[in-house]
Amino acid sequence: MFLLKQILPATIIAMMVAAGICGFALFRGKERARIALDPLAVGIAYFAGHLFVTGWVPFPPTDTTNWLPWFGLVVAVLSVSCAVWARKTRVRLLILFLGFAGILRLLLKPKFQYGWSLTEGYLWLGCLVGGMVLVAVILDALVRRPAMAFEMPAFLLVTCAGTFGTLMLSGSILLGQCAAVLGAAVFGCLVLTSRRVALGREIVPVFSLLLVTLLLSGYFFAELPAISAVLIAFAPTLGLIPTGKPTLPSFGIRIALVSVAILAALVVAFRSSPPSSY
Amino acid sequence: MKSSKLSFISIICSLGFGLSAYGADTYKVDPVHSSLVFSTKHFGVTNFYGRFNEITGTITFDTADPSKSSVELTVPVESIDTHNDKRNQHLKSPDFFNAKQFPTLTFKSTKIEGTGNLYKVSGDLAIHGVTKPITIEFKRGADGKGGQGETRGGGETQFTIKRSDYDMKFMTGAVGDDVNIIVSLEGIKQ
Repeated sequence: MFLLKQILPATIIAMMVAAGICGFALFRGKERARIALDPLAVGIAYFAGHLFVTGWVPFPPTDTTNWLPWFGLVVAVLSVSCAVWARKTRVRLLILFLGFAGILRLLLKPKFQYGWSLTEGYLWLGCLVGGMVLVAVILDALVRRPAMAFEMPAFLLVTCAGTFGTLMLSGSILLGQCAAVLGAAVFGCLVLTSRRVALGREIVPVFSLLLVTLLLSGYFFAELPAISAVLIAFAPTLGLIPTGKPTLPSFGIRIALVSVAILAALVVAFRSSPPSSY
Repeated sequence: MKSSKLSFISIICSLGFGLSAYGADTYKVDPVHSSLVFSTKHFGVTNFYGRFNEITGTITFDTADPSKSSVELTVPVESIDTHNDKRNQHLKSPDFFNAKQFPTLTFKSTKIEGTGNLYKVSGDLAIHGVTKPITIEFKRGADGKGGQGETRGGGETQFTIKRSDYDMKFMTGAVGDDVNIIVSLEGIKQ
């Protein structure tokens, strides 16, 4: 009961903010407005929800977890800018790579301070940025695939649910709550599906950034097992399996496959750190 | 004549230096016989107690001129002990101390004043990456001889902080914001 009281207010706020922005986008009726407002809906909704969880934190934050809402906003704005001015895939990928590299360097500053040598640190950074870009590429492929309007939000929601569960099991209610806020922001965007409008691909950089930085925070600063983090980050890959035309049964198969990967991640996290009350 | 004047001055200076250095004793904190205990309210019901099992540091104390004294303490967050492994893990997580980002708590004195056995110690307390100035009352105990003839000295202090001042704002409904801290230090004279 206490946990529910702890988690609900922030998630409701995130959901309402995202729904409000997406509703406004629908109201405007123009494709360009919707393209611009999709990533901003997730970025601003996550910002609002995260700050409701942690309270206002002085800038720049000392705790790197509190950089996440700022990262979300920055990447949302970057994503919109790319949609308008940088339409070539290579340019987008380069901007994404550089943006993610800067963000991860900030997030993992304590590891550079207390754990890694410079070489070790930059090797880790290179691999993690590569992985993050790969997650974004997979999600981008998923969003561009011919599908029903609710499919993409469903894949993202299942991923968020798994992230929430594994982070709670990793020993951090705070990070679990942040994952719930991300899920609520995506849920708020479901208002688009009421008019059979699918999520735009511009949402991918914001979502993949927030998902991966949450998982990395869980791995490096809480007790999230690496296997769980990798399973969740790459679970949406199973949604790309060809199953013919976009029908309900074919969607059912793909979401079931993604759910199996998420479930496996939860089992690993549970075995690693079974919950107990105190 | 000049060289004998210079020699005289240098002798006086080194004597003065020796005297002032002689007045300050340095104690290395004995982690086995020092304690750091904290308590805070759980759901507003009653105090819950925990401790940190390791404290290291140095106390330099000048009886003649306490303003020349200093204290430096370091406490690893990993040493937190609340007699429950799950709770220890939770306290070390990003929800509270975030031990992997901020592995130590530190205190470094900036000013010490007082007489007899009661002193006001001002300094910078760093918790969770946030450094705040605090002033505490430290009650000094008498020096004594240890089991191997070594000289031991120490004292105790008790004070309260708000964890939200150190950016630890999570779950203040369940775990109180006010944290009472008791530090009892015993050091071995060097």
